[in-house]
Amino acid sequence: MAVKRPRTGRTPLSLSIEDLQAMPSTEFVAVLQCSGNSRQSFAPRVGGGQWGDGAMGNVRWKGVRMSEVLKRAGVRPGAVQITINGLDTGPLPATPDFVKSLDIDHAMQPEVILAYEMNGAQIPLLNGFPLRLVVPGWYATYWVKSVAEINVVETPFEGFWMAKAYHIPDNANASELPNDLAKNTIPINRFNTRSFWVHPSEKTDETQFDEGVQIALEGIAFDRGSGIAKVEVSADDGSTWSDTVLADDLGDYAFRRWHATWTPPAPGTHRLKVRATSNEGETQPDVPKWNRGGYMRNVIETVEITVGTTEQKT
Amino acid sequence: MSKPHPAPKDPQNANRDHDETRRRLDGPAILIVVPLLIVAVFFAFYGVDSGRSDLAAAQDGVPAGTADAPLPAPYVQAKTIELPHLQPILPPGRGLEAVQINCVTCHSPRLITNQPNFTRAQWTDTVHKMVNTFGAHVTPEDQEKIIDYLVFIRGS
Repeated sequence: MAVKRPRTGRTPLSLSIEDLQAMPSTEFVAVLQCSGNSRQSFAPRVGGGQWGDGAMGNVRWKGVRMSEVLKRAGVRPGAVQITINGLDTGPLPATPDFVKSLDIDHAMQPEVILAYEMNGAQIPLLNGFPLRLVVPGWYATYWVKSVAEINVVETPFEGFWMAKAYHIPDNANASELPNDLAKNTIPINRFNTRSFWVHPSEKTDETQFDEGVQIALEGIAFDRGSGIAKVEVSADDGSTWSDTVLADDLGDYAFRRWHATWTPPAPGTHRLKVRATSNEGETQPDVPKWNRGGYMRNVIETVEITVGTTEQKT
Repeated sequence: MSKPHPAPKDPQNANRDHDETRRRLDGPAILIVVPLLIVAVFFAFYGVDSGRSDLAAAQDGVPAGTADAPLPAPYVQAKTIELPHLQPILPPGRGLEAVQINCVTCHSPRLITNQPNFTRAQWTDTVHKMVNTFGAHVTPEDQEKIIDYLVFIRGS
C-alpha cells in the first residue's frame, strides 16, 4: 500500500500489511450498507442491482487509523482530499477505474480506518482482502476494497466515481420526482436513520399467528453514527407509537437491536410499523422518497400479519 | 431475540486450503487459484500502480509450493472460497446472441433478468450508458439488437 504526496518531491510512502499491523490499532463495530440497499422497493422502479433489504451487514473491523498513516506520510497544508484506489480494475480498458475520494478533514477523523481484520479474522477476498477502507456512517461505495494506493491531492478529485456516479439530489432528503429530476446533484455521503423488522417478517414467512397469542416483535436500527435514541412500533398505522426495548449497545455505528411484545386485539389482518429516532433527532419519513439512483431508502417499514384463521395463506 | 438478523455473510470455509473461485459463463467452469500470499507481496512492491497485471498474475495461479511458504502470523493465511456456479438463464428471444456476445463480458446475465420492466427509451439509455460510459465495445447494429431483446423480455 502506497501513499503518494504531490509536488513534495518525496517518494511515496510504502507500507506492507506487517508495517500497518505494527502501528497502533483500533477496533469497533460498524454497519456497512450499500447506497442502493432496498432499491427493489422504489416506485417507480429504477435500474441497478435489485437489492432487497440485505445489502448491509454489521461487522467488527480492526485496523489502523487513516490519520496515523497520513501523519506518517506527512501531509502538508494545502492538501484538500485523499483518493483511494484498490487493486480492482474494470473488465474493459475503457471502464473507469474505481477510485473514491474523501475530504482531508474527514479522512483525519478517528473512525476512518484501513482495516485488515473483519470479525476477528483476515478480511475475506470478496470483502476486500487484505486491506479495506472503513468509513463508518457513510455508504459502502466509499469502503474501497483491496486498498493499494492513496493519493493526497491539492485539488478536488474529479474521477468518474466521484464526479458522476453515486450522486444524489442536492436537497435535504435526497429526493426528486421522476418527471422533475433535480438539477443539482452531489456525491452520496452519510446514512440516514433506518429500522427494520426481523420478526414478524414476510422474508422469513413469519406473518401468521394464532389468536390470543403474544407476539415477539424484534428488529434492528442504525443511523449515521449519533446512535439510536429510541425505536417505536405502531399497530394503528402510525396514529400511536409505543417504545421498544433497546438491546446491547455495540457502538454508535452498529446495529442496535430492539424488541417488544404485542398481543393482537382481534383476529384478522394487522399492519405493524417501526420507526427509529437517532440521538441527533433524525427519524424516518411516513412516505417513501424517490430518486433516480434508487439510493437511501429509509421510509418507516411496515409488516402485515394475519391473526387467526380468517385468511389461509397459500 | 434468538433469531439471527442480517449479518455479514462470510462465504469462506475456514477449513479449506487455497483460494479458488469459479469463473463461469457458458463453458465449463474453470477453477482459478488465487494466491493470497502473492497478492500481499505485490502490495508491498507494486501497490502504487496496482491493478490489472497483479490480478492477472493472481488469477493465473502460482507454483504450488508458494502457498506453503512460511507466513507472517497471524495475517496471511491461504483460504478457499467457492462461488456458486450460476448457469445463465436468459430467455430465448431475437437478439439473445448479441446480448450473450456483448453484455456478459462485464456483468452477469442475472443482472439483466433481475431488472424490472422499462420503456424502450429507458433501455436505450441503459445500453448507451454501457457503451459511452463504461466502454463496452458494441457495434451500432448490435446495440439495436440488444435494445430490442431487452424490450422483448423486460419492456413496459
